[in-house]
Amino acid sequence: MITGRMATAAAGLTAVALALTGCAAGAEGGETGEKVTVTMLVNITPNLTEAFWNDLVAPFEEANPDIDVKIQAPAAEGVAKTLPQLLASGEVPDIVETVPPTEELAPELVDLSQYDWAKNGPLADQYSLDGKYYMAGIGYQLQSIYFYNKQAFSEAGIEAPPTTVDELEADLQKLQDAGWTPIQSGGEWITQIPVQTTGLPSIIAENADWFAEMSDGDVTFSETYSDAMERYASWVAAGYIPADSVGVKYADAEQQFLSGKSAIYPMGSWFAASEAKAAEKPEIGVFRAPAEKGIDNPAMGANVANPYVIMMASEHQDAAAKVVEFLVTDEEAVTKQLAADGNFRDGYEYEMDALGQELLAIVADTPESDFTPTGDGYGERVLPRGYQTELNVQAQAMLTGVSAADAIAAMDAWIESNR
Amino acid sequence: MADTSRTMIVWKRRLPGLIMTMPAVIVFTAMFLVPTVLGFVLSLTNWNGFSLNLTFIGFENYLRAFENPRSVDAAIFTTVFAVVTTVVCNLVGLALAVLIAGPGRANTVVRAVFFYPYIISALIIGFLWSAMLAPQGVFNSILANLGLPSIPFLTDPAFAQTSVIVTGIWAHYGFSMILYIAGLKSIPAEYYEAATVDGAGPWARFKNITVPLLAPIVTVNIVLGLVTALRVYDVVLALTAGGPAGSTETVVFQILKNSFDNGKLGYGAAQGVILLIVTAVLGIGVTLARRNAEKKVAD
Repeated sequence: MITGRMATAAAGLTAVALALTGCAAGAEGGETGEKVTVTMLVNITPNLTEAFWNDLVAPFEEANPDIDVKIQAPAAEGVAKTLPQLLASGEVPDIVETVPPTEELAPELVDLSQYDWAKNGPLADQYSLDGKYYMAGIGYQLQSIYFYNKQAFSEAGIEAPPTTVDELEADLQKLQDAGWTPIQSGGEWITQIPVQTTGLPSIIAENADWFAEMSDGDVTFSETYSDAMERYASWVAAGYIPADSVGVKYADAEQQFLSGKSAIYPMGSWFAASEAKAAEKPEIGVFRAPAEKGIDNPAMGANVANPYVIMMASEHQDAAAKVVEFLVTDEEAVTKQLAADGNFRDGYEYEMDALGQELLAIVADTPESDFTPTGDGYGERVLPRGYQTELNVQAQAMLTGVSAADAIAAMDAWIESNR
Repeated sequence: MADTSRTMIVWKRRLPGLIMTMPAVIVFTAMFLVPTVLGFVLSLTNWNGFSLNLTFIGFENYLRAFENPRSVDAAIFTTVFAVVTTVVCNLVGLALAVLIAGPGRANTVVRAVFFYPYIISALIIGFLWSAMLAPQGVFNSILANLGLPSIPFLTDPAFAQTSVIVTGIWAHYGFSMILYIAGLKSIPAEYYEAATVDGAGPWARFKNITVPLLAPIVTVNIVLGLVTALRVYDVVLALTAGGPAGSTETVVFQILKNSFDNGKLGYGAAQGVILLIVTAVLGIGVTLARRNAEKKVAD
C-alpha cells in the first residue's frame, strides 16, 4: 500500500504532469468573524452560465455577508473530469455540483446525514451509500421518456402514446409507413439512449436489484438485456433508426427533431429547455418509456438534478453546508435552477410550456420507488465505470451492421473484465 | 593545495555555464522528468482519480493494455494514422514546396493558403470536416442533389478511419511544405546552374541535387510528423468522437477515456507510458536511421 502522504505528494506532483490544468483557487479560510470564501465547482453550460450561478447565489451572499461564494468553472471537459485533477493537485473546491457520490468518491465527501434537507430531498435514498447521505439535489432529470412529434403521430393515425414496447414497435411501423423517420438518434454519446430507454423500464421493474446483481456477477448482461438489444438491432434493420444517424452530432440530432424531420426522440427531460427556447418548432409531446407487456410499473430512469456534495478537504464545511442548504431549499433558488435546465420537481412550478407540464405530470405520477439510475448508476446501484460508454460503442456497432449477438457478447466480455 | 586551487579554477569556469543552464534544467525536470516518473509510478497502481489510498498492482495495467482488444485496435489505428499521414504529408509537402518555393507574389499567396490549415485549431478542423462529411453534410448534400447515393464518410468504420486520416493530412501537410520550402531556399542556386550546364534535366536535378540536400529536412519532417500523429486526439474528438463503434479511437483518445470517463487513471497512465516509450524509440530510431542516410549522401 502507498501511504496517504506519499499518494498526496505523488498526486500533487502529477498535477504538474497534467500540464497545470487544474489551476483552481482553493477555499480561503479565516477565523470566526472573518469573511469566508466558499468555492463551488459547477458545470458551465449554455443553460447554466457563470452569470446564472453568480445571480443564483447573490441573495445568499446578501443574507450572509460573512460568506462569499466563489463560482469555479471546470476545465474544458466538465466537472467530472476536472475534479480528479483538483483532488490530485490539492486545490479542492468546497462544494461540487453534478458529481454524484459513489463508493470510490465517498471517502472524499462530507456525510450530510445530519441535515434533513439532505435526507429528504429528491432521490436522496437512491443516492445514499451505506445509509449515509452525501448529496443533496433539487429535482429530477427524467431519462426513460420519448418526446414525440404530435403531427407525425396524427398523420400515422396513432391516437394515443404506446403503453407497451410491442405497441411502440407497431407505432414505429405506422410512422414509417406515413413517411416519417420513426426514431431520431445520433452519434457521439447519445447512440445508447434508445437501447436503455427500451430496456431499463422492464429490466428494473422485473428485478429492482439488477444493478447490484450485475455488479456482483449474479446475472449477466446477456441474460437480462438481450431482448432490448435484439429489439434495437431489429429496429435498425427495419430502418426505424436510420443507420447513418451514427454520424449525426447530438446538437444536430436535437435540431433535426425540432425542425420536424423525425417523429420520436428518446432523450432526457433537459431537452424541454431547448424545446422551450426554440423559435419555430412542431407541437411536441412526451410519454414515459413503456415496458414489455404485463409490466404495470415500468421503471423510470432518472438522475437527481443539480446534485451538490461537500468535499471532506473543505476547511469551511459548515459554511459550505449553509450554501448547499440555501441552494436546495430556498424556493426561489430551487425554481430558478429547475427552470434553467428544464428539470422538474413536484410542487415547484415555474413558467413552463405544455411540454413542461407533461413532464411535471410524469414526475408527479411516478412513485419514488420506481425511479432507477441509468448508465453507470449511482449510490449503491452502480455498474463498472465506463459501462454506458461501452454500451454506446456497441449500439454504434449495431448501427454499422454488427449483429445483436456479437454486441451482447462484447458487453458481457467488457463487464466481466471491468467488474 | 595545488589540487584544490585547480578544482576551484575548474569550477569557476564551469559556474557561469551551470547557472545559465539551470533554468532549463529546472523546467525540464519539473515539466518532463517528474511527471514521467510519477506517471510511471501511477501506472503501477489502481488509482481511480479520487481516492488517495493507492494500491500497487505491479505491471497489471501494462498487461491489460496489451491484452485488451480495444487498446490493441486503437494502437493499430494510431500506427496506421501516423504512418500514412507522415508519408503523405511529406510527399504532398515536398511536391508543393518544389512547385511554389520560387519568388513571386503569387507563390507567396499560394504558400499562405496552403499553410493556413496548419494554424487552425485541430478542434475547429474536426468540426469543419464533420460539417462537410456528416450524413447530411456538404458533400452528401451535393451528391443527393446530383442524384447520387450518399457516402458513409463518418458512419462506416472504414470510411470514418479514412476520413480521420484525410483530415489529419489536410491539417498537417502545410507544416511539411513550409519546412521543405525553407530547405529548398538553403540550396545554392549554383548547383542547379552547374547541373543544367552539364545537361541535367528537371528530374535529374531534383533526384541528384534537391533530394540529397533536403535529407536533414526529411528527417525533421518524419520525426515531427510521427510524434505529432501518434498524439492525435482533438481532430478525432471533434470529427468522430472515436466512433462509429470505437473504430477511430486513437491511443491518446483511449488514455483520456479510460482515465476520466472510466475512472482508471492508473491504466491510462500505463497507456501513456507505453506511448511515451514508443514515441521515443520511433523518434530516436528514425533519427539514427536518417543520420546514416544523410551521412551516405554527404560521403
